[in-house]
Amino acid sequence: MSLVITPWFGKVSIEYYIKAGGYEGAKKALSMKPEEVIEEVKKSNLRGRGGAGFPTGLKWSFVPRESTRPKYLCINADEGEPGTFKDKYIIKEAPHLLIEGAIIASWAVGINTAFVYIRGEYGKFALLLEKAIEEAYEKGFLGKNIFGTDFSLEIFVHRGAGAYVCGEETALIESLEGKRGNPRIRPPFPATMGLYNCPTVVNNVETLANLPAIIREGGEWFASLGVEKSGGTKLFAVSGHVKKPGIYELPMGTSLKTLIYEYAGGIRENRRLKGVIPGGSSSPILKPQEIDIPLDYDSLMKAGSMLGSGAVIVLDETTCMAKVLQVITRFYAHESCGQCTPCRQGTPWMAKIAERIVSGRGRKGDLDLLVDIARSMMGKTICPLADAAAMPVIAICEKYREELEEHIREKRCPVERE
Amino acid sequence: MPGGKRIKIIIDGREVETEAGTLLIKAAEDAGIYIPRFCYHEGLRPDGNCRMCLVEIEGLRKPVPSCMTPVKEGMIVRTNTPALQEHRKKVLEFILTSHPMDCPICDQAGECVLQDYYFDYDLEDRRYLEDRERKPKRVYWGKNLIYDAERCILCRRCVRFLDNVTGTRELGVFERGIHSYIGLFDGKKIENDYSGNLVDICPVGAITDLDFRFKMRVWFLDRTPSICPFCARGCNIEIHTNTDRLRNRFSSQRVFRIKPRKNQDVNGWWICDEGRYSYKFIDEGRILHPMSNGRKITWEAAGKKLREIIGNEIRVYLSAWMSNEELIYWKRLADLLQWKVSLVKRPDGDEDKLLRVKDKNPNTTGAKILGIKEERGNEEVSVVFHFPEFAPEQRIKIGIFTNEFPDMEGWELILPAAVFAEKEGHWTNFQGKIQKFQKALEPLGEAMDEGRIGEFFAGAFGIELPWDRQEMEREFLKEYKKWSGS
Repeated sequence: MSLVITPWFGKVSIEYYIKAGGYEGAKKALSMKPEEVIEEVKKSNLRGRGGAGFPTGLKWSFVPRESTRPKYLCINADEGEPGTFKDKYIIKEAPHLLIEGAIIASWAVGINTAFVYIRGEYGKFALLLEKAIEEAYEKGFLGKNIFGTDFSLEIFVHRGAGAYVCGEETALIESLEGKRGNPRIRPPFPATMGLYNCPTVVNNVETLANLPAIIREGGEWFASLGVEKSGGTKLFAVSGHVKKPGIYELPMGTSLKTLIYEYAGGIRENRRLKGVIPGGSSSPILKPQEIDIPLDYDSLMKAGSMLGSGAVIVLDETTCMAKVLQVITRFYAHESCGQCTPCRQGTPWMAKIAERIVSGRGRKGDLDLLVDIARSMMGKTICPLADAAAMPVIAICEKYREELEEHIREKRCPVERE
Repeated sequence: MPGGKRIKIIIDGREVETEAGTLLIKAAEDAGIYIPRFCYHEGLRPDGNCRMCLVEIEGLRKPVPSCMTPVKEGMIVRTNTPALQEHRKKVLEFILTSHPMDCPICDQAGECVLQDYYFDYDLEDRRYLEDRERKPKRVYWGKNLIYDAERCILCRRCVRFLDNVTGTRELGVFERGIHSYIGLFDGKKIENDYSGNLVDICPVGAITDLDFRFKMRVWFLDRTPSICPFCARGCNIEIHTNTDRLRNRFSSQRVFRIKPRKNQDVNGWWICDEGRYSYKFIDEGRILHPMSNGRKITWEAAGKKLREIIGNEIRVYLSAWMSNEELIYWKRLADLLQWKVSLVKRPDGDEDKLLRVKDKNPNTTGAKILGIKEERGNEEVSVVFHFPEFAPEQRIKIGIFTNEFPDMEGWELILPAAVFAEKEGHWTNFQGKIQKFQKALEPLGEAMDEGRIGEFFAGAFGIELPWDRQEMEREFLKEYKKWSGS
């Protein structure tokens, strides 16, 4: 099986990275025309790994080629979606993969300044990344005249202050500008009006880490690793009630069942599976009978869920679904930026209801109310946080209705009995 | 964007012509289709946060905020579909999960957008049965303002006003999500010269006016269009009064507040704090009857006093606070009596880039049109309007004043004049615009407007010159046309 990212894990220092063939992709890219690089990435069917799955090459092509204003690359290392820890591994295990990817993306789009927006909680990984960037500068891979060409690129590391919403690209830009991290209304899109109102590309860490291989081996090769519209491999961050939680790189289209039972070792203590959240806390939960499904953007979409960030959270039979609901709703209530009325008011409302249900104070009609609140928020706000909060609530209320109703009726948890 | 290309769009099946680039919410409003909104205000940069004004546009998957969407040729818009009606109910329900139900003691009641919209669009039972978020209440924001974070719906109009309009940036949003509130930046208070506008633009009762709070239910106020007299801009205002003795527990207060009246050519949507809060002179310290050397006299006695000065050299000091009509009337009277005519006015004051101009008088331009100049003389008798400090000392002083002042004993005769709120007329502002102010109140005591006082003078001097305001208005317009060359 050909893998793209994990084989580089452990090659932290630039010497090891170069010895293993690192920076060859960037060198090759700089010998190509920028349009050719974009073409190659389009061919690769690489889709944004942050969660939305937007085709990367297409995103780049929205940025005007000629611009009187500077263009910027923002590298999204905010990785806030609960369950997600893949970008952390890339930064920790192969920081140069990210730097090389940034060089390629910057060359393709015509960018000379890149910012890594890294979440504040990743303090020590930010230090690691800064060290790697320093190494790259020393080698002449960053700064002026990269690889002896006339192309220059400066990379700056900027630490976030702990807001999930700053992983949303326009909030990230606002935060980078030193403002409150509130998402912007689109249009205009960052591609034309982003950081400091200049054309801006925002790419996820994992997205960029795929670029060296795409340029080295070709877009078609990368596309062939995956399925029809989702090229390459994907990092899956498996957590929860499995025997071997961790990061697994698998080709797009691998079955979720295979991931859980073959790679992650199956359910711990041989208990029964209760549900799987396939793409981070905002993706609608799948029931055990739904997990024989190819892991790619379109298949999961068709199943009413999302591949998202590839954070697979596995829940076994001991899990109280009311608690899951409580944890998820509380998270989004805590993270709503508070701009849009439906999200600011709706997320804590849902959290309060879930909290009541868990503590045995649920009321008849609570589930219908939860679903109604969730539906009232969806598609009505500036950024997708409201949708991210609403989707899992709807799925859990609908798929585990009997258990939740019992929890409300009996005023105690039907699962976690002493 | 005036002068832009005219385009056609369809709103709710109606063809609407508008200018390219106009925001949809405004284009609809101009065409008589009202889209409810909390955060949008015509005078501020749109923000799109309240989500109340969402509309459906053909070809778009999701509803969009009409306050952030510029019109495009051929756009097909729906503002009132069942889905949108449902959405509005939900936005209202969401807001009311945090909003206290203290309408009975809220100053905004009766002019609260949230109340009105709930009545217009919702009328549903309450489904929110959880605890309400507790936030700071009665926060002192500066000389005129009190903030209640629980009533606040976080539309951020106030934040944007202080950013877009005054540029003083005292306020920001603090905390996140449901805990968000509007707060002062460290060490700041809202002490700028336009702070009172925050009360007007707040759609709910989150920002209340220290001067007005708890004094009067707004539905007991009479509203009269008027013009602010405190500088030559002549901001368009409304005077809010109550003279109903059964409702008004303040025995001597008739005016309760001044509000701006939108006029894009003069003051936009705003007025300054001086104009807003200086109304107290209308009800306080007024001269209520004719006086001589500090003692009350009758009008009859006053007439006698006037006849005593016949034959002296007289100069009349007209004031830049008199209306166009009064000025032209008095100028004629002075000409007939062969008096000299001068102008008196408040001295220049502060100006700024927004509204306030240096000239602190409402009608300097009107006086200029009539050729009345600021000259000082030393005649035997001075007849002085409004500003006692201009009278030459050691001479016979006759005054026509509205408010009491020290040293009234030194005046041979003082006649009580009505203030601007007690009469109607026109002023000509510094741009040369003639603007009408209307009568909000009856003159206090025996006060009369300056036209009728002129008539009284004419009578005392044995001249026939009836005061006819409308006639004088026409006469002034003739002079105005000559002056403006149109």
